[in-house]
Amino acid sequence: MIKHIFTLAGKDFLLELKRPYLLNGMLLYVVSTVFICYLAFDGIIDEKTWNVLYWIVILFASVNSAGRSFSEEFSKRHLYYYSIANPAAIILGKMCYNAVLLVIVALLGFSVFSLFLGIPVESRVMFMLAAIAGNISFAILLTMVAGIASRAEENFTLMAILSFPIALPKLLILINLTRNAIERGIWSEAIKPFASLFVLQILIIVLALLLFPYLWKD
Amino acid sequence: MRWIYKILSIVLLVYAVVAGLTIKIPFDLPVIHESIRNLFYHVSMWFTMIIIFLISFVYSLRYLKGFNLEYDRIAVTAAQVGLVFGMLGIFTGMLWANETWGAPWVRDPKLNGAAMSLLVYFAYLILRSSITDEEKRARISAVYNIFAFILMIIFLGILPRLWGDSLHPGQGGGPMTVAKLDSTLRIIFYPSIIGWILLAVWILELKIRVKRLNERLNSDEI
Repeated sequence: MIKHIFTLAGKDFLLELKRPYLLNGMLLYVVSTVFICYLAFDGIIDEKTWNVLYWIVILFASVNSAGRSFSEEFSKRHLYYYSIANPAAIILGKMCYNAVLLVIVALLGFSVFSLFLGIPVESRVMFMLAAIAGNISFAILLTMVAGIASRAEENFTLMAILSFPIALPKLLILINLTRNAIERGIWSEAIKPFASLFVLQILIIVLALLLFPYLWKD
Repeated sequence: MRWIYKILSIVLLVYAVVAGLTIKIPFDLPVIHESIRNLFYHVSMWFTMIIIFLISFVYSLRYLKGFNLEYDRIAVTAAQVGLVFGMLGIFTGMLWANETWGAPWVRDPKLNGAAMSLLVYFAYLILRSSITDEEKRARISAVYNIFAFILMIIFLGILPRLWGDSLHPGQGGGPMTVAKLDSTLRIIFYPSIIGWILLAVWILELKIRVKRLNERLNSDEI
């Protein structure tokens, strides 16, 4: 089972490397969005805005990149995967793959943000941890939603409207968490949000494992 | 015997409207004053919405167990009816908020939570309309319904902790804490909730029957 998961995730990376324009496109998306913010805000950006802006850019980039995680495969190829691996391995493999991808997005986002808009952060370690944990959690949630959206037509708009309302509370936890990292950097206050993120993750994974098998059969 | 609950619904609602508007409020709360009467209508809308969404959730679960399209029909109709009650809840709340808090929309965990759950169910309906195959539509949307409902319930529990106390009466030492226990309000409030829920179930049943008849008409034509 665990071997399956890693094989499937590895297969996704190989596919990604074969079509580098997709990954590059996503990275450029982050860079140009931040650049637009930098020009549009024109130096009026304060710490709170910086924080919110970071997460909004990351959310949109994540929805964009996770949204296509099933789109190309619900053709004939998925029947093949389905016959050699069980659905749990497939969704977990996708989650691992998306998690790595979105952590790259988060780190890139952070470095581009600090280049253009400065780093008004008190505790950088906490901020990075929150960014990484947040993007892993987005990856898990968005993978499941992408599985749902990919079964319908016009799945890009659908991806956004299906995921925004259920990603919103998570986004708010993260914004609160990084506000602490930016303003005070107090670790004792950060334990609770990290714990609640973790519990939410477990819950979403359990739900995804229970529900994903129903998405496959045609 | 099925008509009993319909009669009960009418009786309870007539009672709730008449008594709710005419009863003498035994106390005068600051800020809220006479607008406390909205409690009977506004709060009942939310109870009704939650119950109806719960019905939708249960029937989505049942659909995935047996793949009976009848269950899917109930699930989607319940989502639609729940949305209507949710919107009514928002509108009655906006009227009340405008009177007491001075603005129709304020930053409050309950308001944002309510808006979020409406967004989830609108998304559910749009998801349905973008899949053409009937069986597939039923299955995919049932998955989203279950996924979103469970997350929504948990988030509604977390939200107040994120934003601190609600402005809503009865929380954070608002003026309602006294009134919450008052029995004159209770004898109208509880029947009103039951009345609205029964009315919603009645609407739900009618809508399902209409859908069923339409389907039969369509299949006859073919």
